[in-house]
Amino acid sequence: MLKYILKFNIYFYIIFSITLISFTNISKSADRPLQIDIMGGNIQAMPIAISYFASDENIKKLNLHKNIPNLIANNLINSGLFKLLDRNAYMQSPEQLLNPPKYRDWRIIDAQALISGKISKKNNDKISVSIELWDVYGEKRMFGLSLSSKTKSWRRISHIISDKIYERLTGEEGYFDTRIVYVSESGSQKNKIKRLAIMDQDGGNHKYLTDGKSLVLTPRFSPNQQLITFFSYSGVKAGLKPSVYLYNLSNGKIEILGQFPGMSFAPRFSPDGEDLIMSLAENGSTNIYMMNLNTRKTRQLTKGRSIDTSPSFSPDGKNIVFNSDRSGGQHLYIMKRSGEKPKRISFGRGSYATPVWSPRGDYIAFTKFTRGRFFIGLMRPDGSEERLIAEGYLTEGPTWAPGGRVLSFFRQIPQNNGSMRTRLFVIDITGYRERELDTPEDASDPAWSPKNVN
Amino acid sequence: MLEYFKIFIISILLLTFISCTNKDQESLLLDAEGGNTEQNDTLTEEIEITDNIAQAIEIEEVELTVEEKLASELIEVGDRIFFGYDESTITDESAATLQQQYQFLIRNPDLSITVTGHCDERGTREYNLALGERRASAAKNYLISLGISSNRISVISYGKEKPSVEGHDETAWTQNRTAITFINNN
Repeated sequence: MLKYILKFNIYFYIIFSITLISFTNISKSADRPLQIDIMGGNIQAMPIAISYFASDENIKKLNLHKNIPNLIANNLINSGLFKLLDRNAYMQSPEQLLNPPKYRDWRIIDAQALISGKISKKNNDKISVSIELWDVYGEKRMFGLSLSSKTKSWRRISHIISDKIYERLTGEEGYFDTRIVYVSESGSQKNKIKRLAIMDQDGGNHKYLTDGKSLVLTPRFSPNQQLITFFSYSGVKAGLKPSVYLYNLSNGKIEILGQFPGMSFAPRFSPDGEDLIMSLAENGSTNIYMMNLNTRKTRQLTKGRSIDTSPSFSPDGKNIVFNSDRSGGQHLYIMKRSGEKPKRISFGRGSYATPVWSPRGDYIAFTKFTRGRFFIGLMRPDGSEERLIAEGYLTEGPTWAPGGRVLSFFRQIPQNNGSMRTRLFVIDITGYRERELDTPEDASDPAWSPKNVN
Repeated sequence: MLEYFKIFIISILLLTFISCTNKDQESLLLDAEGGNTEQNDTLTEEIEITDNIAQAIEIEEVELTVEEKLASELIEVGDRIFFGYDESTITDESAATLQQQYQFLIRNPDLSITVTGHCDERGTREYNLALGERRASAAKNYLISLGISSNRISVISYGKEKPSVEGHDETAWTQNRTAITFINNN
């Protein structure tokens, strides 16, 4: 009797899941590859199975056969596009998955995709990790990947694997093998200590880059992700203006980027890393300048009595979007990299600030302040299709992950005791799947790195 | 002879004891800050000791107050001016304060100052850095227009990073839209 119930249940599940499948955005017909359309907005998360990996006893002692698939699962789930199926329901063991899977066993739990893997120990404290991605309903191996590296780099291996799986299943560029530099905040509102901190995008390998003795703001990555530019008051006691600085991640050296009659701030690199754009404020007006990082020569791009700030290059390096109050209110403008042909692109109510051009070039993200609330918004580079994707008492400072489909920003959240909690958030351009990033202290001014270089 | 020696020892012990009591310490502190000394009237020895130490402390205090007196004088004449939301206009009230600052700078021709510009938290970091610079520069330019040499005045913008007042309401925001004048230490 029990057997019959079980059998009935299994059939029921199969029929039920097939019906369900036909109502989801997840394609799984034999002629189309298994893929999620991430632009679908409020789509259902794709159920996937990520088995623990097969390995020998040496690896099992380090727990990597669990840690690596767990980290991959964590990345994929955090994207909001995938749902991990409970491992207790898996009918095949990691060792059985060294052979092609029994697809039926995985369809029973409605896994759309299955990830299996094995880890083996190599010489010189190295490990080799191989994974296979299986299309359960298409009954196909989608791809396999083998990576070897020092054992201690197992997190990095997991992120690279996550990117490959994400890219295969979404058709979009992955962003897991990346870092985030940000401003870590502690202390009272009147006397905040602000330090630069850096971490993997999932919060791993967290470390502080500055000691907190001087106020630092707005760090940004160079395209080769070895340099960070930021704004600091560190020279003020020595009589220097608050200025733009460079931090070299490979040797920890910090240098001031030129000395100007006024304050230099709001720095960003050009897409080729050769130039840096920033604002110089003097005598009540703020203009945009470009500095060649090799010759250290500067060129003035905007002129006048207004505040022109927060410049950001288009990904082809030909245009610059910035924020100006030249028309009275704060609005967004685009100009040529020469500074010519400035053109206003924002026309809505409220103040527009901190525009950042997407690495794909299709959107400009910005901060908007209207009716007492702050928003993170997106618009096309011609100013059309404006929409707001996040809001709060204070939300500010969008930054794009590689691929241009996911952003981070920071938000101040009022607490019951009257204080504020300031945290980093991640959201995708549909405005769905918002999530808070774990940081040891309050956090602001996130800057997402480009993809790490292998 | 022995009698004298005994008295001598007793008085030393007494003096040591008195000068070691906490109450005595408290009155010393009060003295140093210019507070009451009337409770010391009961014991003559105490007054002597207190006076001596208080004088020693006073000498140090005098050294500090040259700068502190100027700083508190500046606060008395008005060390800061306020601005409207997203504004950098010098109001009549601000102009009156800056005229007082001008008089103060004329009275103290050796002093140089730094004007720091501040904003409330209702703006982005980068825009507020620029706005703070504009506010500090507005104060600087007004002082220059009155006749203070520009090389006596530096400006630093702190944007919304160093509010004078804690809080997240209109009262705090009004207090935090400022340009504050500080005397340079050198």
